[in-house]
Amino acid sequence: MSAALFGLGLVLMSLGIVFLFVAALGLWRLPDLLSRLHVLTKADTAGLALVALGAACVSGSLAALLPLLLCVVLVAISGATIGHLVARSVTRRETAP
Amino acid sequence: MIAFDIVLTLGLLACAAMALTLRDRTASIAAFVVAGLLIALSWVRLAAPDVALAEAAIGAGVTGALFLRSARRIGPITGGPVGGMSASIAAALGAGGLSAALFWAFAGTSGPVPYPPLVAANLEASGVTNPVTAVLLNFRAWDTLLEIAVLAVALALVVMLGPAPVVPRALGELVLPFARIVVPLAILVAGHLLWQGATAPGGAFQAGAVLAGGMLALVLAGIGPAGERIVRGALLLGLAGLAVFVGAALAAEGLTGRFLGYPAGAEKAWIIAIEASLTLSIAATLCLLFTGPVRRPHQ
Amino acid sequence: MILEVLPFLSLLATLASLPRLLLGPGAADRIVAAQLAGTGAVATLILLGAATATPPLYDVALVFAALAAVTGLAFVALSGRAR
Repeated sequence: MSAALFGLGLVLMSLGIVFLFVAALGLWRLPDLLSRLHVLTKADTAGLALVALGAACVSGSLAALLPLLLCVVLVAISGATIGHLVARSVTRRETAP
Repeated sequence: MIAFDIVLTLGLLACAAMALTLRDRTASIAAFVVAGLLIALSWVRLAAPDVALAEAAIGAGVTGALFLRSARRIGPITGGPVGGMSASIAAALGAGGLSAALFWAFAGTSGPVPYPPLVAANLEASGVTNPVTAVLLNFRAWDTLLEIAVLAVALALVVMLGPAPVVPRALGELVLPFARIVVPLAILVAGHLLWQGATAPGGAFQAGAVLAGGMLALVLAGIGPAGERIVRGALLLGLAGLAVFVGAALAAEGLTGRFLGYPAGAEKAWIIAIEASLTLSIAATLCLLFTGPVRRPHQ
Repeated sequence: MILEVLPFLSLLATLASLPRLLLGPGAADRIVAAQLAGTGAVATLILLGAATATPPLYDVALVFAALAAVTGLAFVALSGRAR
């Protein structure tokens, strides 16, 4: 049981790191700021959530679950808020006379 | 893990170089913030989670905001590097000399370090089980008292100089969901770090910096009262930390005859009480450093 | 051991945002790159905590996560009326 959980944790963490690399690649290759903001709000959040889920499986203690969950919630909402705010400030500057 | 350490060090050097050489203030600040992240990771690798927590709290949150505020005040970079080539060479030579001296001192030490066993032997008497807190708030509480005095002096200087306030644009409703979740969580995390400081990595500085981050988020979002009274209250709170610490030191001297010698059996209560007031005071101080102490009417 | 490789990969992903920080072109691009590096650092800390079985590192990650947005918020709030 615990070996299966450990394996599942490894798979989830590896998958999360793949997402993080995709995010870095997107930040590098996407053409403009508004496209790059997608990286911050989606790929990155998904990557961190998978990593945290995997770490929860590996560490296997309920006490470790709370900080991991809070980490994911905080990063998700931070990324979404910053992404929105930056996008709004950019589009306002572009459409302003 | 050796590959991790090598890449971490190289990345840290790259960030430092970017922070120093980029000719764009926002770029320098962003590089500095990333360098702070890597420094916190380095402290983790050096098995110093207490310092890592402090670096994470100060470096990731408050410093970046303070630098951005200053950058806004002084405007974009104009002209070449200050002092030109010769100044850069002099700085490089100075830094190189300092590093060499540190390395020489480090390589010259031999034998076991006497301090950790000494702390471990007396940990029982300190009232807490986290050796770092035992040193900071009991064995060497004198040092921490002086550090708090430095913070109070910094706050007093800011009050006296009265820098022109930077009034951030209120970010509006987009930030409301963020503030509703992050500010309560910041208070929760600060309380957790404060309480945990007695037994595990944590403490007043870390908790205060986290609290200041939450308060800054509120200020930047333009939520909440921002009147003269609130600022005065924050100022009093910022200076109260030093007053409470000095008062506790004198009271302890009256009770036990030793400066900062807490009564036996009640050490933990004294330490937690002092740390709690320091947390609020540090948070208020860091916040005031960002907002400026006086809200003059904006022209 | 594979658990020790994961933090290394995550660190590489974190540092991969540095080219964007260097190139810009805009100030917002650099701040977004720093924000992304912050998330990468949180992931690296979590992986380090899992690899070395030291849950206290999750607290460091939590502090990073709680304060990740302050720099970005300050940037947007202060850049509004610049120049």
